[in-house]
Amino acid sequence: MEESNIILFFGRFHPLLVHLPIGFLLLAVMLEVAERMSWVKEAKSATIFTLLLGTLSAVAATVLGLMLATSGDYNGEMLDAHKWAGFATTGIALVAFLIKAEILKLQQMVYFGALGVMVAVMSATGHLGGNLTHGTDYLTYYMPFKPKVVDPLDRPPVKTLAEAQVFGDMVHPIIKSKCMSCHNNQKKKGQLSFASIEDYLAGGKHGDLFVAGDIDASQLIERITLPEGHDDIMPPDGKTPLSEEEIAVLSFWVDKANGSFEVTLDSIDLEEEFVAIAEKQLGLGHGHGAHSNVQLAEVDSAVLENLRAKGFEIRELVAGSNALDVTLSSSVSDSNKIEDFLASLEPIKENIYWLSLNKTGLSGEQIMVVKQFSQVRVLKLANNKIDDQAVSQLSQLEYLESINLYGTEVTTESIKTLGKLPTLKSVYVWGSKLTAEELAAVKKEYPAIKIIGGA
Amino acid sequence: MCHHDKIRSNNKDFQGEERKLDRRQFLTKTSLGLGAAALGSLLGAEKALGGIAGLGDENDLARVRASLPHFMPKAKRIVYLFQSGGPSQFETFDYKPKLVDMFGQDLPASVRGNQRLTAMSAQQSSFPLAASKYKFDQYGESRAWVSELMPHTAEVVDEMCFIKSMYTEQINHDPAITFFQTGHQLPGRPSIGSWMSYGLGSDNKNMPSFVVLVSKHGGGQPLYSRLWGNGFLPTEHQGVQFRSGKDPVLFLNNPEGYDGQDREQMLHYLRDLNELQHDAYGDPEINARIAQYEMAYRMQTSVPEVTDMSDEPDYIYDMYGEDAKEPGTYAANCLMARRLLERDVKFVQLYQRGWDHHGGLPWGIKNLSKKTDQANAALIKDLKQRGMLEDTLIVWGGEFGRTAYSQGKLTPDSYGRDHHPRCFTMWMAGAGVKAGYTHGETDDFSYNIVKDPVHVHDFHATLMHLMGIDHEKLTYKHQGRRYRLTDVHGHVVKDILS
Repeated sequence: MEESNIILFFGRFHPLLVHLPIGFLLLAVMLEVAERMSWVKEAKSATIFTLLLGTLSAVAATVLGLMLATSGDYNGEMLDAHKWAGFATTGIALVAFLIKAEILKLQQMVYFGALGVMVAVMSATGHLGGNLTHGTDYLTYYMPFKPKVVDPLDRPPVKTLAEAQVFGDMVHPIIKSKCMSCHNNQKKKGQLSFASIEDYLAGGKHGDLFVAGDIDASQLIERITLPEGHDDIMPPDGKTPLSEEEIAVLSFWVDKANGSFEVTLDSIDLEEEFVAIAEKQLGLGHGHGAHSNVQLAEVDSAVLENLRAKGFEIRELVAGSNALDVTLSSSVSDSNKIEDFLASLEPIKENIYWLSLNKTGLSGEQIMVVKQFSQVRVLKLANNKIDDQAVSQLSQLEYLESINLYGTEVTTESIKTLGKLPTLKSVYVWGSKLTAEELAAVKKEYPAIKIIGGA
Repeated sequence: MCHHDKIRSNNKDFQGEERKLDRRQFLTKTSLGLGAAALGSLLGAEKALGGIAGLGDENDLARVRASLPHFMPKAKRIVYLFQSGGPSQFETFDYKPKLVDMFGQDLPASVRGNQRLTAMSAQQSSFPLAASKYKFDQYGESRAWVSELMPHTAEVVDEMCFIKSMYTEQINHDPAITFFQTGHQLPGRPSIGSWMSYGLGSDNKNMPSFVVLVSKHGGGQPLYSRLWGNGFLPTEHQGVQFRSGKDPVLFLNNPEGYDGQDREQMLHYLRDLNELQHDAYGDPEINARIAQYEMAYRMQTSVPEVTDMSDEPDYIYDMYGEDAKEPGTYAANCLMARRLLERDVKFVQLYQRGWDHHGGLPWGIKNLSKKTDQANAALIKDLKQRGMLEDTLIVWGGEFGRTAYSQGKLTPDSYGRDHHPRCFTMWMAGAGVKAGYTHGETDDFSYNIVKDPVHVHDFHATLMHLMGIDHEKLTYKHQGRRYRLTDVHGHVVKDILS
């Protein structure tokens, strides 16, 4: 919990209260015009009173504004302009009131001039204030035909992992999407901005943003990895938090890339895990595992309903992903029906991630259908008449991570076929034709793959 | 609504009823109905009136399921081996060699702090420290400590993920078990399995998604069906208890003298009648009942198939132990659990009672370890061989731990231990958790946690995470507020995730 700050507590009422003087002063001008045009009569006392209200509320708004400015969250130049314009508005309003109330005896021309200048200065004040609160691009963001604003740190998309610059291609885009709405040159929360490399280096009111090579000493990393719900976590409550991958990228930059603004990926030793993250972020490669960024075709819910009615159990692995977990139970399928069952999967063949066909009467003949399920990650073919020849057909399944061949007729040959698959992690061959010695041998030959055989 | 017409036109009584109902229907559906709808939206009582007035219902299952799973699930099924009574961590997995030297000395006041004790040992004049009577050794590549009471478990430690730093807030059995199973100490909340069933549905329409097995020969503290109850969730999400013996699910078999030939026809007609009732009253429990009748009908064939273990070969019984041949034992239930999991039952909740060893602990815990050790290890091995350990999560644990000091008289051969909520050991194995890993640490007295405490809510959050559910997002609105399994607490224990 931040300690309470009475100045800032009241200061934050400034954006609310400023609308009062704007309203009162504009009303006073309108009353004046209306009386001139003879739309209203005897408006003088009302105009004086309205000008008085406008002046008093402008003073109050100015005081609250000065209190809010003590937070230091706002950009200096624009804040100064807003402040002086605000003083001017208040001052001119006071003068106009004094003239109208005949306390100050001046010419009518001065009075009308004052009103005109007041409206102009007040509009400027309001606009500057709006920019301070919402950011300069807020007003024009949806404007048609607006000129394109160029971020000096933007870079063209990369084609290979090696040429990607850690800072420019990976770090800054994350910062831009998650942090820059509050940390820019206009709205400098905590006196921190990410608008330029100099700003990165300047840090914020708590000191340096990062210490090259030292994650633990880097506030950038500390603040984004605080436990959920912590008072100091960034982005704060209500804003979209950083994903684990994004945190990994920022940590990588501080640590492995030494906080460099130039270094590219080809000059750093990359761990496999980070390669996957980088490929995903940069939209390169096919991405491994189920988190790949392959866009799967939308599945028609009527198709799924049909398949379910037929006897398949189908569920989506992640809501909205169109990646499916498909199970055919041994209680509904046998060697006579399996062909028909498999054929009916045609419309979703590119959406099947997990497929379970244990003990469904599957034999080598149907493997040609199974090999079309090109996205499959987990394939369960246990207790079917599957042999090495059938397994050799599966060498195209480039995403396969786990295959269950327990209770089939496979031998060492199948392990050799599967051993070539780039992403394979586990093979289950208990109760197949592998002997204990063969099992020990293939385990040794493929140490990266978990081969689970007899007890 | 064709089923109305069909039934009513064919049935004189209904035709009469229909005429009588018209005026009443008119009044209800116009004045009262509109009034109720308006009132309902004013008071926010969507649940009570949602069915009648067709107001937006955030508990609507289609709406809930459309957002699930929230992320990629690691586990497709869970089997939770609940050890009721509170197994001692000292004689099982939490090795405390210092207690051997301090045998009989009083528990230092600085360790105990101001912790409350149960009335059962609070009056004791001293709190003599009791070391485990059983020896420990390290096993596997992970060098995990396991006592000599668990020789089979010791063989599979490299598949297991121990959490030595579990803690709870409850010190007595009923609130502690209720807390563990439902996320709240007071009865009335849905159990873990019910939440899973509600959020994720079933993967096998011929079986319930949540099955309960209570082992016999337990003794000790009782268990109650509300532990697997659905709370305020629709009734079809409550756990279905499978019993041992020839009638595994009560009232599932056809009664004597009825051959069941026209059962399907009968259920169809019953459904039409129930739907009529549902249209008139909008009580969602009527839908639950329709679903349950039809599930029961499908289970008439699927349950005998799963409970008939005659197709299990001998080597399976060698693995699980001789006990597994006797239906209803812990070992037989573990085997049954595997059969249920093979058929994609989503949540199997298994109970073993009798771990509440206030006195005569060395004998009692030896006895229970013998009943459970081999089957636990067998379940891990069996699932692994079948390739099911990669998408099935096994959870083992009780409702709290036990004290470092002896309750009652301490002798080298015999002692007791009182309830201890501040630290105890659980283990998990399989889908999504690190294998051969130990999380958390307790002090030399296993009295306080010194590293990485894991609260019951954290445990629940982690289970849900493994199933692809964000525990903060799966909610059910009831009596004007949204409820979660983890209430307003819980953090996923990321360190144990593989």
